[in-house]
Amino acid sequence: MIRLPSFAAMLLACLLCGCGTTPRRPDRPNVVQGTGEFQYRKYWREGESVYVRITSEAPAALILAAPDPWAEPVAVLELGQELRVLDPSSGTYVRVRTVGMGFDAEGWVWRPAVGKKKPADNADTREEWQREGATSAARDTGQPTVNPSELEAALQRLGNFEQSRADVSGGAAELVRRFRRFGEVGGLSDD
Amino acid sequence: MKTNKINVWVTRLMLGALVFSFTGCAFLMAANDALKEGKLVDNLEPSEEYYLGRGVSAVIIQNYEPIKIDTPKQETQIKYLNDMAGYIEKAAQGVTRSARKLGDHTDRSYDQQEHVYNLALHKGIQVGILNTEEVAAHGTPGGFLWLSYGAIHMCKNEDELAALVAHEMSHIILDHGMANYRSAHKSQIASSFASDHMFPGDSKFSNFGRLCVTGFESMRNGYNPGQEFEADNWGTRALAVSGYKPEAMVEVLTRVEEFEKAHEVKPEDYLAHHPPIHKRIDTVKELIKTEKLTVNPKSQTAEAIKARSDRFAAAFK
Repeated sequence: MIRLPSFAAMLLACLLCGCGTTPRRPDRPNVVQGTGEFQYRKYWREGESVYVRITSEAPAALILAAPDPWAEPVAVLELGQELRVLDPSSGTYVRVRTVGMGFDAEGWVWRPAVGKKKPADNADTREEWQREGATSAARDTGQPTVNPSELEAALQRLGNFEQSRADVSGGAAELVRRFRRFGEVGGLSDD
Repeated sequence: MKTNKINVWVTRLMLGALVFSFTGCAFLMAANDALKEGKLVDNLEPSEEYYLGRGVSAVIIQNYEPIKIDTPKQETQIKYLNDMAGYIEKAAQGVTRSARKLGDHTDRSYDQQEHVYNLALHKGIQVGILNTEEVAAHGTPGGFLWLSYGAIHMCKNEDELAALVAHEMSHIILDHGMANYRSAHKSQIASSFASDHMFPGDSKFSNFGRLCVTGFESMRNGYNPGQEFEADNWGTRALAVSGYKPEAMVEVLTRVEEFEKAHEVKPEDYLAHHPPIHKRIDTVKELIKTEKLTVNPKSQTAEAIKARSDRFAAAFK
């Protein structure tokens, strides 16, 4: 039989959980009311530490000379690198200074590339996430299960592809210069 | 206003105490565990999304072999596509990621929207080519973008290829794959929890209850057509700010329409899961008109068109 008290508890859990099905709050609390002016929320205070969330292979893992995606790179950042916030009030970019890199670099970093939480070393959960992703994709494409040895072989091929691609691409600073050149040669960018 | 909020919480607490007295602690602890497990996938770090995306990509390349980068031609193709994707991603950094501003096609909670605003890719966007003439394109969590030779050859020039890249990239930037994964994961947890705790035993009522729960779960797992409209919207805006003509999105969608007419699209095909193409074309045309999206005039000079045409031909002709 259906347990009615249990159903009531489910209902209560649903009311309290705050998941995606709850009504949406205003889209962006940091849009100045009335003026329509767009302003990013001040995520951090001046002098606070933030940490790089992405690897040095990502083109966004850079300190740039100006708050502009095409500005010249000043330093390449490593995953987990600590940075000191100098100016949090800017929009898409935050002015930072390096901490403990052996040299002082100062400039602008793309805001989503850094976060307040130091990224955890997830070496022990990598395989679990890969398996989870494969199982989810297989389910979406109507495959009942994932063969572990076939998955292992596919991940190996993927690893080879990533390595070859990284070999022909170059590091983060080189990538940004190449992307900029791509826009200029194609007559796409204004610079 | 404040009093109202307090009243709501007092009512919720009283209701909670009442339900607790009926149900007992064990049930609520189980419910709490299920909720915690569901919330674990809400705010993954970029590295976790990357490894999850690796698993998804592994399944894709089980079905379609990616090209190896062994020859100068393949190196040119990979560099060309990755430079194009990197350029568009950088140029489109300022394009809105708000679900509402992108046409309200998807329903993101406040926290999910914040996650999209702060989405960063562990290793950036990595574009790979699938060695098949079937038309296939995938943007997976963690930044993997896969294009088949069939999809690339469908494009007649660089602008159309850029539209295809921008569309797939928007699935990554707007976290569509992760949203589907989260939804499926949570409905699976809810379904197994409800089956275990609300419909235990082997009576007819319990069996019927479990059947309903499973049906609900499979509904939640489904593909979300609204994401395609949102990806078209972001992709078209991204094209315009990158200097490409936004109409290239209409042109590439028209190519897909022609392909669909010329070939029988089977239910298991990639294109069978997309919303009607004519609706997407109309929506993009409307967006270009209402948002007054325009091309960078500098990109329309004979010299610029020739430069793009030459490098497109060098890679794929």
